[in-house]
Amino acid sequence: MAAPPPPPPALPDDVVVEEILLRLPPDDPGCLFRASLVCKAWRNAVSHPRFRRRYIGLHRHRAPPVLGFLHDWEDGGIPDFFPTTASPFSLAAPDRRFWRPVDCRHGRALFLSDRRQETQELLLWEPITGARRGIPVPAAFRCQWPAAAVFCTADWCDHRDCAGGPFGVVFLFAGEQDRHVVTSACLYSSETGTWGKLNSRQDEFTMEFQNHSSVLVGRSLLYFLSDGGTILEYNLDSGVLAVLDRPPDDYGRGRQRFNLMLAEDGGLGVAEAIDFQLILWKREASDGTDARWVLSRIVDMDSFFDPVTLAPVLGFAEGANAIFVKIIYSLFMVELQSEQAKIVCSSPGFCNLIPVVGFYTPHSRLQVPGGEHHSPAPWLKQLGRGGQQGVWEEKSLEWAQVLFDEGCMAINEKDLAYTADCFRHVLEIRVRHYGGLAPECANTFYHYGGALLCKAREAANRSGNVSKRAPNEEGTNLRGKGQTDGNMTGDGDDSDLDLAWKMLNTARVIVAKSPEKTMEKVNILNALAEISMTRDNLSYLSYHVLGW
Amino acid sequence: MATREAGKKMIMLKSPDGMEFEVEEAVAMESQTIRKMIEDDCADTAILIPNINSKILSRVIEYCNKHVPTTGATGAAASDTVAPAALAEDLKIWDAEFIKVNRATRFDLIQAASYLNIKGLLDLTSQTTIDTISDNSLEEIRSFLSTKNDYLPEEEQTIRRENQWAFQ
Repeated sequence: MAAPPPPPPALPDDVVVEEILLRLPPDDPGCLFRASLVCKAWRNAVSHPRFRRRYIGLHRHRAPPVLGFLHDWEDGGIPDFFPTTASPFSLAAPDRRFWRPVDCRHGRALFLSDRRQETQELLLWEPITGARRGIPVPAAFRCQWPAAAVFCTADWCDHRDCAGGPFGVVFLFAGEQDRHVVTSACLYSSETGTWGKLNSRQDEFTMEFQNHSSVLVGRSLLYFLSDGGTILEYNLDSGVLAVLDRPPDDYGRGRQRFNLMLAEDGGLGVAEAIDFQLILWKREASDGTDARWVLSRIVDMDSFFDPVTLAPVLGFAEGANAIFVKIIYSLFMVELQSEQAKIVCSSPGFCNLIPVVGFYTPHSRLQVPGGEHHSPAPWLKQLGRGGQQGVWEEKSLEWAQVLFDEGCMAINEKDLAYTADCFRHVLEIRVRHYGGLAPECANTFYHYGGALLCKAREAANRSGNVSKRAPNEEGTNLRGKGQTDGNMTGDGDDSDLDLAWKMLNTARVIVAKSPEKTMEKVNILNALAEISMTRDNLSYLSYHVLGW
Repeated sequence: MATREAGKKMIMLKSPDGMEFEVEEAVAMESQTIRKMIEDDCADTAILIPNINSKILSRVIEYCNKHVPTTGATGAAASDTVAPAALAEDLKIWDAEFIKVNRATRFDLIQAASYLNIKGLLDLTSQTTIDTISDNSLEEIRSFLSTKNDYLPEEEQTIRRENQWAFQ
């Protein structure tokens, strides 16, 4: 008698499904979306906030991928969001016939309503969650081509998953005042829902900002590039608006050929495409007052493309360190670290191209409303200031506890980056719930600060024996030469340490109010003292100071 | 070397079906879950591993045995004579053979690796599965994983209409 056929394998349980799906590649986000369509259990798995945290945590050692870009091409055949991913992918971006994209950063994109509208408005769109929110433009605004920038304002954030949190917007525009041309900037805070004071400067010409988006350096300097090639610096702390000189004109230049970018050391850079070379400049401030442009690198493109004469740089992807270059009728994305280039699309037009960078996971609202809304008006009515809070994120205190435990487990595995990430999210949730200086948050501030401190030490230890680039990274890559600076920058370390100080200091302030928390005070002061003592010698830090 | 051999601490792991496995402590500590138990002094006698049957547990131990760092008993000599790249290549080949198991066993291994918190094994088993299915159609994936499509026809229609790109 023949043996009966073996039963089919049991349905893999949630743990197994989650573990499998976590391994889908972040640079091919369409896979995760399609996985969500296999069945409802899978959809629930991949759209759960826990999955998103774990996904970002698992892929934390890589830069967030460029998902695609927003643009203002007039060609109606090109979608509003153009994917740059390996397999098909799409995001339901606002209709560009009504909304012109102006900036994208930290999981949020900013649009300005069509200038032919009677009253112009700004629209904030979160590419991952699909959430939208209207923001009025400053009352003083009167001009055709303003610039605007959006950024996360949460102090403790690494910006890998901060959509839904507090943000700021800077609006920059030119106009006339008492027969003088003035350029003005002001800052909007999502927490107050209002625009701050207008800061203006007199200029010779009216500046317009149609072709370039902004670059954020550190946490407080925003840079804009006018269509005429003027670089403007806006200081978020002081509100000062200043004009910077341009890089030297050593290579000949067309106005539309260069664009702002972040240099390898995290400072301001400029990418300039001259003939078949990419010239990368960086702003070097040796003593803080005498900043100047120095040549950072030259990337030859003739090994990849035929020598050509026109190659404007259309966009820079902050966080992913990639630029978009237009060569004749084709748009290329050049990853600056590896110097790998790939063709993205063919299009004859110029535009302000705004890359969307980040980790995609399907949101629980699987489908956001799409093309049926042709006018900005319904959105603005629906999502006025303070709008639908519930739409933004479903976070809870229980979730914070789960993350806290996960962070504690990660410490045991000496996985400090993930630990810090977990504690940051816990802090975000608890601060939002209890308030920034509530006693319930002291322990979280302490743990997050401690994790950052250990992370800074680990990074400092590592930087001693890490070389920046392998010398033989060629093959199909573009070749680079003329690199003037090969030292290890380690720019993340100082910011971790600074942030650790801020967190621990906040914890100190909170526990200072409670007479009974003596041990906590000692631990916190110990850690603070360690930071003070080791700013010049990170290797001295040790885990035991934190009682771990 | 003999004294080091003698000095090795052994740990007893028990599966719920009554089998016992004696393994070196270093091997057992490839599992972060067991490591934590040992560090918290909860591992004086035998450690019962719930939900993982003897067949799967023996495979997990086999994996940990292979992946435990070679420094220690055989010591510096091994890492001096064999280049790290060659070791990594050897492990890769071994892993590829190890993972040639049926679906049910692979899912059990994922579950075990997740519970025992063995990152390498979890990566290997999950990545292999995702590599197997990522090029397949939704129907093929459902059939491979014995999963049923529970979207209602009208839900599926809406999803398809609004996300045509995903079905190209």
